[in-house]
Amino acid sequence: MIGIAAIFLLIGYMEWAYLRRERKSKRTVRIVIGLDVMLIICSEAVYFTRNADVTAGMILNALFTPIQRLLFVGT
Amino acid sequence: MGRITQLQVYMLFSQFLYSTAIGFFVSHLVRQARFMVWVSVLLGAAIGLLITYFAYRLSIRRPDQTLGQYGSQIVGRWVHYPLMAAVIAVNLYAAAFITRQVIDFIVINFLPDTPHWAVALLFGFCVARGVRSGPVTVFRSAQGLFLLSVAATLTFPLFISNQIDTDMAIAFITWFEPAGIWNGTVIVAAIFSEMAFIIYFFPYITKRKSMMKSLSWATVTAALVVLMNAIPTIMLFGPELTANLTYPTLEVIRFIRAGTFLENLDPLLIIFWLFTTFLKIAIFTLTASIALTHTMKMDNSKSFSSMLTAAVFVFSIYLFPTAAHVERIAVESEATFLLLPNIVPVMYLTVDWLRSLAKPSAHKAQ
Repeated sequence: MIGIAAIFLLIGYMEWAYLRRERKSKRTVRIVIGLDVMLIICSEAVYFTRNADVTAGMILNALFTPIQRLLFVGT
Repeated sequence: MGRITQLQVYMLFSQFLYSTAIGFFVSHLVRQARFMVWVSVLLGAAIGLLITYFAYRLSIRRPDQTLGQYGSQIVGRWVHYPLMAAVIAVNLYAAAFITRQVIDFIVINFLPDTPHWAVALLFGFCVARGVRSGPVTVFRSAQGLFLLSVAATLTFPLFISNQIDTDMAIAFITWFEPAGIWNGTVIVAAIFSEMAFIIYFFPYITKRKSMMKSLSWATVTAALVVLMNAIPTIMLFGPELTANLTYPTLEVIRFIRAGTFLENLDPLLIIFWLFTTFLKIAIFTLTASIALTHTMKMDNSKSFSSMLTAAVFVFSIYLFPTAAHVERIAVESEATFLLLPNIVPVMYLTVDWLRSLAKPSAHKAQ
């Protein structure tokens, strides 16, 4: 859990430093940091539900399986 | 802006198409199409190329922009933004899934007892550097090992030519099962239609008018490599065993006994194939990164690349609890989530055509 947060925080800091060095607009910095925060939340959520009965991966599988049944014949 | 040559397009997409097709799809394909796998590959490749042609037709209308930039002019912002969000999410999910398949493959066969995160960290660092370098570097790197990669994948079936059951060959003509052929075709079409990703790289490419020629040759090369691997595998193991092996191509390589010096060729040949999976994951992540950058009206995808790659590798470890879950998803839904993002440009093209039919003068003014 801490490892995941550390990786994203490190990347976020490096990107922030890069954007400042390149003199990018405040909007760009806000979007990049916002995405980083969103990905930390998503990654931690995926991490905490990794041993649950229904993981995020299996929910997505349940979403796509009916479409595949429509595409395939005789399954 | 265009710095990617047509040769690089051909070399990247050839490797991009056959990488997972021969690594992970042979058993699924044979389970569906059995001996008619060659028909499925040919039909699926043709459908994949057709979907790519539609993406090309859409791109050529606005060659200096990507779908993320002009999509809102076609379908409106309220449809474009959710659609692009879905495409980006599905691309990241697909990248994570393919990454997990590669990590499982490496851990099970070559690095037993190694934790998944260690393999993911090393492989992820390479992919992150590639993605951050941008499309020009990734396409150029595809040139580096192209010949060795194609030579390796085309060579290993030749080593087992004296062990295959030639009596089985007649079944490749006599066996006929339309449902299985169609299902196999959908799987192959899902893989080959990934060339529609050109819609996100179009401004970076030179001599765009001859793009379909390069992509057609890439399709032919990839289809040839897939057939050169799938057919000898069936003739060696039979369709039943091939359909039930997790990595049939690897088993074929392990069947090779080329003298005492080359007693076990698999690591040597796997290295080149592993490079093609690197390209595959990098292109999926890069596509998501470029689509996000241009949808957010930004100009440089560098800032998103590292964090999206990190997310792909974290998802690859924790989204799928076990190898059994990965196998289940591969059978139940992989073809669909690979196919859906490639259908999106077809939808945009249809709307664009309808709009230009309704307002021909307005479209000309654009």
